[in-house]
Amino acid sequence: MKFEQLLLAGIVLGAIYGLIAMGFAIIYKATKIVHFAHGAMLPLGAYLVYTFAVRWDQPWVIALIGASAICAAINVLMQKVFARRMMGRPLFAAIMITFGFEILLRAGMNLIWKGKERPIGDPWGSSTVSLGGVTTPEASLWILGMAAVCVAAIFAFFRWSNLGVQMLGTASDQEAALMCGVPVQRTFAVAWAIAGVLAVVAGVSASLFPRTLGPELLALGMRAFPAAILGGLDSVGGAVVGGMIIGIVEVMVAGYLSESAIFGANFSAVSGYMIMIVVLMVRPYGLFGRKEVARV
Amino acid sequence: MTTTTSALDVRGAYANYQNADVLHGIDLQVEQGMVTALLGANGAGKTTFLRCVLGLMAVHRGEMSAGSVRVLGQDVSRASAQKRIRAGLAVVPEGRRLFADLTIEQNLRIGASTRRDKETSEDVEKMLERFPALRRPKLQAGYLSGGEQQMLAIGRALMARPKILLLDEPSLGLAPLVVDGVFETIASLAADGIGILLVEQNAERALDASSQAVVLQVGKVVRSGASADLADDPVIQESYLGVAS
Amino acid sequence: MSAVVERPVQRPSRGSGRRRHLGPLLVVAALVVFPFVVSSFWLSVAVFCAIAASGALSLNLLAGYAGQVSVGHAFFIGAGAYVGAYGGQQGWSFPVIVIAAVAIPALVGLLVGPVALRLRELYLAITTLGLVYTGQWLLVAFDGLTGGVSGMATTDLNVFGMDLGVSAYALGLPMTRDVRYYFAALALATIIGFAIFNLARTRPGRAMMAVRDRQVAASVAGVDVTRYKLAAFAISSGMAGATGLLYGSYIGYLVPETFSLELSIAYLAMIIIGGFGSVLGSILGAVLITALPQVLAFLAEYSTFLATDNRADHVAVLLYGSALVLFLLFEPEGLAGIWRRTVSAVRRGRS
Repeated sequence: MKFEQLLLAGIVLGAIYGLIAMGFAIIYKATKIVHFAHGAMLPLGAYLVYTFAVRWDQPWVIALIGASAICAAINVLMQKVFARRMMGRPLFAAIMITFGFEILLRAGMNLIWKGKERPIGDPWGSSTVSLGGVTTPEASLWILGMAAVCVAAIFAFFRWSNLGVQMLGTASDQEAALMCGVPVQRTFAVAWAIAGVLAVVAGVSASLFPRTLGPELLALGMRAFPAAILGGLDSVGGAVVGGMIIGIVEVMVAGYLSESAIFGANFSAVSGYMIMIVVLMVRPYGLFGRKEVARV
Repeated sequence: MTTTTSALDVRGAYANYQNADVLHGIDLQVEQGMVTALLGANGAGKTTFLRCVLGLMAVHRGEMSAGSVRVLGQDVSRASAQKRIRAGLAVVPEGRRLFADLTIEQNLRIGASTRRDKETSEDVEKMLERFPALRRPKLQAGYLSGGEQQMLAIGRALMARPKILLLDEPSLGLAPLVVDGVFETIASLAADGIGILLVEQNAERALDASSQAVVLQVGKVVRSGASADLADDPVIQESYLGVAS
Repeated sequence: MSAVVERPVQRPSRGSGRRRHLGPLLVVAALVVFPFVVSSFWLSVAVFCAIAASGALSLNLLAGYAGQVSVGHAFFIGAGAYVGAYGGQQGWSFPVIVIAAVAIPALVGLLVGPVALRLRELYLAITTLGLVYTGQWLLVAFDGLTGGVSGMATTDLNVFGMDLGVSAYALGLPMTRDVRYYFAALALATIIGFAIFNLARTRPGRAMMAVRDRQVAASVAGVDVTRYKLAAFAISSGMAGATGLLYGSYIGYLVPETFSLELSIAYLAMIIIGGFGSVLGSILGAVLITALPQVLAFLAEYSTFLATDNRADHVAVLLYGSALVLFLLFEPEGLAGIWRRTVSAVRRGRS
């Protein structure tokens, strides 16, 4: 029973990581920017939902929509800064600006919400449900459901929508896309906006158990980074797979190894990074990424 | 022959790249249903001219341009590439510039990016019919042969339902038999009423396929006129047609 | 980023030779007098600033001159600090402690470097991200050595007979612990700064800067770029270790929480705000970012707004984050660039 319990928990965590990594991959694929600070969107999204749902007593759905809209807008703002000012600048500058944004977001959050733990105000409470003999909080069904909906929506977007295929074209050859009349700037903005929404869903999901959220969500957000690397930086589908793998591994490690003298209780947090380092040594472009992503 | 109703009317096209003048003020007109050739050696400024016409000069790369461009009478000199395409232009870039990791169908759909109507899927079907080489719509564009890629590039441009088609070196890197097919297609497009600007290094074929021609040298127009006349011109023959004097 | 190459200071020939050295001499004199005239609060701030300057300088070698993005700097500083603490506990002599605190981080740099450096630039940043988190985990997991989450005490350094921890007269001056550490920190910063200044002038150094600025492709630069990047990484890590050693010894107590991603980012911010590839820049950036929270904490005495909810700290972070973004967007040469332009404007005004 322990294995099934852990597996389910791992899948739930994997879904969360997958959502974050997917946002990260979409940003990278569409705009070639490595948004190191994407993880900072997690606590921001969660805090915003808290504010809507608990402080202002809005219905849960309104809270989600409001938070998503704000995060999407902030993301688009950051993207516009990039587009306007960072074109043609070396990689160092681009990476540092994402860190700069992270600092601003972090400080802003600490000033507004004072770094305290807050309740997330979700509608499920502590009720649990039995799934194939495994007891799990009802909220985890929501997480899995939401994640599935998001993944399906993203795939539908790229497969069926005009803007989606235009985004893929831009990612493939930006100048050729311009020559076809693709609204390239719009694809950039939409990519970042989508990532913002995904981060809100992930942040809320991560706050569901324990049912509070706090600044440590940021560290959780950063742990999705190895998932994106594992999947292959520019593969959106790979990010989901990578997220699943990292999530399951982390929970398994926590479940089986936390008693061990060598690894200790905290190893699960680092296990993702260990996997990442191995991936970088062995197959740096990840499971599904293209070779050009990594090699010089 | 310049009339105010030329399909494409370019006056005084000027371009500067990192403080060096590349185009010194080019005038050029293209009529609907007719093929105009733009000839010149490497570096003469042909591709730069096309980028000027399309509005692709990028300030952040140190590129500047000026001059007036009118498409079907509409002034698009200050407009974005997207607007110019919507006004009736389309380009088949040098080297095809296909989206190699996307499918034929996806490439075609992207060609229709500027359209606001609902007939895109129909047009995709029509393209697949017109170009038999493209009849495997789920195939990745990168797997096509050179000639097939050229057809896809033309098809992609046609998806925008252009009135003017700019072709940049369509014969480049293709076998002579394949080039025949490309020029046949160009002729049939002109017969359909599209105005064609054909940029080519292969002067012989270009003069053969066009009714008007303009010769560019170091960013300036040095000759222009009817293609038949230019083909008989000894200077042109020596410089571009490889005929010994 | 535009190239910022250190040129030897050229002054117009008017004025005697003595005038030329007046500026730097005044600065040195001020630095020497400073610790004896300020309150112990500000002296302590100055010590931290000087230590941070060493850290920033060592990062600048890697990032500013060789153009490599690393977010692992906190790891190497922490490594030096904990090695020093352990060595102090074990009673190692000063030279052994120093060598260990420098060599061990450098060796880790040599081990980790090749993983990333043969890939695209980006991957050093990614690898060092993993390094920082792994480092923090190591510090917590091996609590037998490191005291785990609760941390570990450090010992005062004994620099070739001069005990930094003592408060006593030396050379006729009242040298409290803070004063001694202040001079030690200045000495370290000077050594590191001097080393970097000269490394940048060597042929590999100049080639690295040309590659960094994309003026030449790596293959044309005439040096084995990967090997030099690795060397820069190792040297920078070793210097960071020395910085950590001094930091740990001064602050008296170490916790793993300190050596976090946030610290690495703060160091990167220092060299960007201060000015890439510039010795002066690293110093200015380090002073600004280290002093800022202290200045705000000081102001918090007078402002309830700042005093509640830890706001002083967060405002400090907000300010330097804004400075980072603004400098990146508008002033790539940083404070050093502003300084240089001011100085030449003043000089032009005089002539």
